[in-house]
Amino acid sequence: MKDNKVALAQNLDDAISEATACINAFYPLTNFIACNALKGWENIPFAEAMRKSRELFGARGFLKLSDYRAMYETGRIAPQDLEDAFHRSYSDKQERQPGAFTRLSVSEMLDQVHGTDLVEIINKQMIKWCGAYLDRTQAQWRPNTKAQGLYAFWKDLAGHDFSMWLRGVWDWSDSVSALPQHSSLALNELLTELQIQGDVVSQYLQRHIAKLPGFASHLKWLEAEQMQKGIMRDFLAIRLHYEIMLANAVCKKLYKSSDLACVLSLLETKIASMGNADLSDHDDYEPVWQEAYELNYRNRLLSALDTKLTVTNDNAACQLVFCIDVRSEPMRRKLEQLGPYSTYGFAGFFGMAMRLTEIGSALPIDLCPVLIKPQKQVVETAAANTIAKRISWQALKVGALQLKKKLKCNLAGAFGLVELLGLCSAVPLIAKTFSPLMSKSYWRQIERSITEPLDSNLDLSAFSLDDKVSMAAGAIAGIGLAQFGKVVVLCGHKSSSTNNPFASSLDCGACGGNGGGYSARLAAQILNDKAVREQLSLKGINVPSDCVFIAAEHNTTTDEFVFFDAEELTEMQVAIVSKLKNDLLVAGRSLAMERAQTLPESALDILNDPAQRACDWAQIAPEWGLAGNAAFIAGPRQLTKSTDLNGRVFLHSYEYTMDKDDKVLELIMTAPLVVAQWINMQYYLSTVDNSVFGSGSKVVHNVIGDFGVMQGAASDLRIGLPLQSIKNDDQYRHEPLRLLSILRAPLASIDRVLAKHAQVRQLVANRWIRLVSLNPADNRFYEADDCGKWRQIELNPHILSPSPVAHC
Amino acid sequence: MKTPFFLANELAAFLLPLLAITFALAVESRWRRKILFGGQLAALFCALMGWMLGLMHGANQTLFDTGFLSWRLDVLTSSIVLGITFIAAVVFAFSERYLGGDPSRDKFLCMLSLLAPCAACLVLTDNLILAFACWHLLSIGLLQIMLLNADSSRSPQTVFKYHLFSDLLFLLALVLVASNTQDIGFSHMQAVLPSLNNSLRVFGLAIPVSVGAFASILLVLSFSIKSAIFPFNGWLLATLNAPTPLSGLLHAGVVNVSAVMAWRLAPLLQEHPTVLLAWGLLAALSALVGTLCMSAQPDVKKKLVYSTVGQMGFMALQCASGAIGAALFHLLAHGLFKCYMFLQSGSAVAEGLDKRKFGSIQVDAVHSASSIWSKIFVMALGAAASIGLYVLCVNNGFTGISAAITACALFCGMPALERIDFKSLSLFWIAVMGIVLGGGLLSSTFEHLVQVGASANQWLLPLVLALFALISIALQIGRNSSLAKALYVHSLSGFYVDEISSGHSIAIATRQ
Repeated sequence: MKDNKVALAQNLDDAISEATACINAFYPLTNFIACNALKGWENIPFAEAMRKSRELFGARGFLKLSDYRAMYETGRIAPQDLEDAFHRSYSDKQERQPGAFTRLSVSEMLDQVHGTDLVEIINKQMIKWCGAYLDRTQAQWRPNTKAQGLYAFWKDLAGHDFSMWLRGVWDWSDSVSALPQHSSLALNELLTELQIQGDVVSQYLQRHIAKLPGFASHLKWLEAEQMQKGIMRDFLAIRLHYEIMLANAVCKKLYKSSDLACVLSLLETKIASMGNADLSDHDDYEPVWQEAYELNYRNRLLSALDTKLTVTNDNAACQLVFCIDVRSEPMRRKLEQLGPYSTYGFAGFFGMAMRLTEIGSALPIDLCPVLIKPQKQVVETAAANTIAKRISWQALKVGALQLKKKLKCNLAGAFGLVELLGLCSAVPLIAKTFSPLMSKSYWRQIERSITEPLDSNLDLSAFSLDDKVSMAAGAIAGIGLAQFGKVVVLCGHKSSSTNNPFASSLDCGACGGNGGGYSARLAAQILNDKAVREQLSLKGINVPSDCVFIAAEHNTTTDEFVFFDAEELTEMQVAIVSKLKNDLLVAGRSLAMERAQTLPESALDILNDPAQRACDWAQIAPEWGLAGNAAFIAGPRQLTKSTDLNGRVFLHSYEYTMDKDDKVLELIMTAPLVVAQWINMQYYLSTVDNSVFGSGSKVVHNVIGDFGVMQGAASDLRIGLPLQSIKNDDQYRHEPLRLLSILRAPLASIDRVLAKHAQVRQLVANRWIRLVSLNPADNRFYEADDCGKWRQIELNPHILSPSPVAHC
Repeated sequence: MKTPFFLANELAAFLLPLLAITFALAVESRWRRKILFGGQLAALFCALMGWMLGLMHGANQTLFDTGFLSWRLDVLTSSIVLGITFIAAVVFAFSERYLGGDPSRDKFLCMLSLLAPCAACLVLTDNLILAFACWHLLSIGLLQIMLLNADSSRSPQTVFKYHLFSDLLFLLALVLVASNTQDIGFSHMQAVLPSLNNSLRVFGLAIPVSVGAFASILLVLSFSIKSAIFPFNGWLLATLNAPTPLSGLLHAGVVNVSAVMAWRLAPLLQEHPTVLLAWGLLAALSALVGTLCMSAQPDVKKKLVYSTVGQMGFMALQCASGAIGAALFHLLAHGLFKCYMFLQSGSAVAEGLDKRKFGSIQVDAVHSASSIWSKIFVMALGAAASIGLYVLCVNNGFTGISAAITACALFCGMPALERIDFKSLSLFWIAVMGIVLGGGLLSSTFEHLVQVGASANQWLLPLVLALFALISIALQIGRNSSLAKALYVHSLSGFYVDEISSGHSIAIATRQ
């Protein structure tokens, strides 16, 4: 008996995980991570996945045909591209089995046949309960239930809810208390009641998931992080209970029958007679157009690359390592124009994962890509006196904030609070609206007069010497540093914006949606460590003693740089650094001004300044983030140095001659490339259908808890990017192009990696990315159709340089 | 002698933005926004001048009588006009950037520049007909501005329905009053009141209700809808589908106009204490429900909406218990406060993170002896401020006192308190209590400025406040009871206003 139960629960869990394949985990906004919302379908061809998403979510997977035609008119898509695209799509063409008849959920059937709005009613209740359960920071009143988990929380409280009673479900309260204690039992019972068994279970549950994909995605994240086991099951059990209760009520009213099963079979025949709405292939040409669109970009980019690579030594005295983020590319280009700097691209956490506890914080942050779980704890420390002052100040700030919030919700305090504090609000209203920068600097001054300037250190005691050495060796190999200059600057990046729920989406993805400064500091500290360098030299990596690593942070909103705790520098190094700082200032200023032209403008010119944007509470688009991203290039900088890539390319340094056993290539293809694909797909999907995969306009966003936004009073949790991140007025800033990844590596090496990693291989084979190799053997470009299947690319010599910004 | 100049300033405060709109329509986009902006700032400047003249002018009300277009000029009126133009200018500047990249930005800004002058004109005019025109224009402006961003939702129409209903009630009341008194000026109200004592006649049938009482009922209902008092708060929720800055303006401006009208019509309403009492009870219920709902909501904007429902309830309660001056002060203070909170609402993610980082109980926190002294200090200062308020304020400052005491109790219970060093804590708390005292004194000055004569139901306000304190304590004590759980669920569901008011509820809709 017990075994039977366990098996049943196991089956159910399997069905649930199958049902949730259509959604991806949605990270909370506090650490926004770009994800491919359709990651679960990367095992099927891209066009097929888009067709499925149209069926399930009603989402568009491509641009509108009129958009493509307009691009054809303007020459953005050339006739030749279209021809090539046809060829390729034709060779891809597989017989597609006609879509299996999708079984609708009971609520959908009733809605369709009788015009009720059960799905909407259920959604509204689910939003209410999920919000109440998941919020940890906003509601001041949380009921004191001992209940663990969403289902128990709901079961404890929902009996008191009148909403269903008002909808005509008279026995609501009893029905809730009659449910089993555990959600897996409840779900089983409910499925039995609906007569859903066996293979259709996962299909049926998927219909429900697809009705509220935003919240479901966030629950999937909670479940994946092991914080809330079984929360998806809870969610589904509650949904089905609402569905059954409402369906029963409708049946009683319309059919005067309490036999749900009988009514259901009747409904099914009715639906079948109404015919499956024409969801079938209404347009097969979109994928071809898209292919042509991408081929055009591919050809332009490839012909702009400088393939005549000569082996040169890196003799620059000052080397800089930037994050692969697309925003680094224009900065590198501008800086290189100003002096003999050599720049490298590497993941912004420099291959060194850590879990950091900031001073006074109770919440450690993971500074690494989400693919990795950091093993080592690092604590930020400082002199005891400074720490005490800092903690006191933080506590005072948060105490004042909490006091205000609590008072606002208190019957005895709310009205007085408003009267007493109200007129004082006029001051920040004026200051923040009319002079954001000045008000910020006044606030800084107050802060400084109370706390001492923080001169903190990272306590690396968690790392053993071996850890440090292997991380250092990994970083040097990964960056591809062969010669060391006098100064090597490790440059993380972060953004700055205020009053922006999507602030962390502008930060460094390689640092888990946080700023990259700490990671750069960690890396510099390790690479400057004398003991580490000694060990490195035993491994054959000789870092000269007159070479120093310096940590810096690139602010991508203002394009200013902050340098961190530099060690004792020699005179020569001081000179290099001061020249560098000067050049960065010039380069950054020019870049920031260029970008300011493309961002939405205010009539008050002074507020269009990047420094103002960075602290302006009314600013909806402080910067562009990764909009425009289209390609990933792993190769020497020489390949791209002569070209203006317009901040559309992830640049990863790679020298295949230094990578004898393909270790670095393997790392690049399994980590940075995959993360770039996530980002690329998120921008792609958010652009082609913002209403499903994006989060709509920021102006109506309503933050729920501190993890997500809804639109207006209540809606599904919005995943993906807001409209303001991808367009300005009617001008799209992002072009929806699948990631074009160009690797300067031998075909055989790439094949070896693809064969080893099925996850990456399916991205290529199913056309989620386009993989191109610049084959060192003959210096020609090859495109992969699959592992081992390469086609040489013929480039027309008259192709223009890559198109600057999108025109859709 | 100064009166014409005073008047000129006040009129400029609402005419200049209108002038700016007409110019703006003639030029291209970038200049259009500059011109509109200029109009806003000029209006703000004039309102500020007017306010200073009003301060010199003092409390005595002046009527600038030019027959049909007569205007009210006094320090209170000019304060409210200043408040309106201030909020309008701030919201305008905010939206100008916030709607950047939105194709409807220019239209939105034009509409925004229209709303504030309507409200300001409503405050200034002494004419029933003009007042109604402004009152109704606000509704239409709101509808138009919501239609700009309406995707497929029906919310603009929902909002407009409520407002239309409120406007109709208001119109009917005004028609009754004007036809019976043969007068259309607010300021003559006191003198012509007796003519409203006739009983109401409908088609020749006499109904045992006087015209005045009936008009009061209509007015009170109309005000309740306009201020989104529970259970008429459905429209305020629907406005959340519009851009954030519009909510800022709405919660700071539009919902408040009913208090202004209650002030203008106070002589009439004061004649009917029973109607006022009923209104007061409804308002108290709204204050209760709004605050409870607010504390259960998990998202920032619904919290703010319910907070407004509660605050509007409190403001109406003040009106109903005769404390019109206090209500007007509440209106101004709440307007600024809520505007700030709405514009700030995008920070909820960062604030939540800060709270989780620094606000929780920490294992290694420094538990020093000073934390006990801190608590004693906090309490002592709170008590001192309360006594100060009681002694110095006109109506004994009960609102302020209850807030000050609650603040002390809440602050002492916070884990963060133990990590604040005594020096910063004392500075902070002295500043807070300074604000409490200052705010209390200011509000009591305001109350001096309104002369409503003897007012009915004065006992209501302190009674309700005491009751609220009791409920708040009871909820704290009995938070594990099943009653508290039920109350939580009702609050989370907004007391089912949506279910009941959204047409297709009660039974399941069937559109066969």
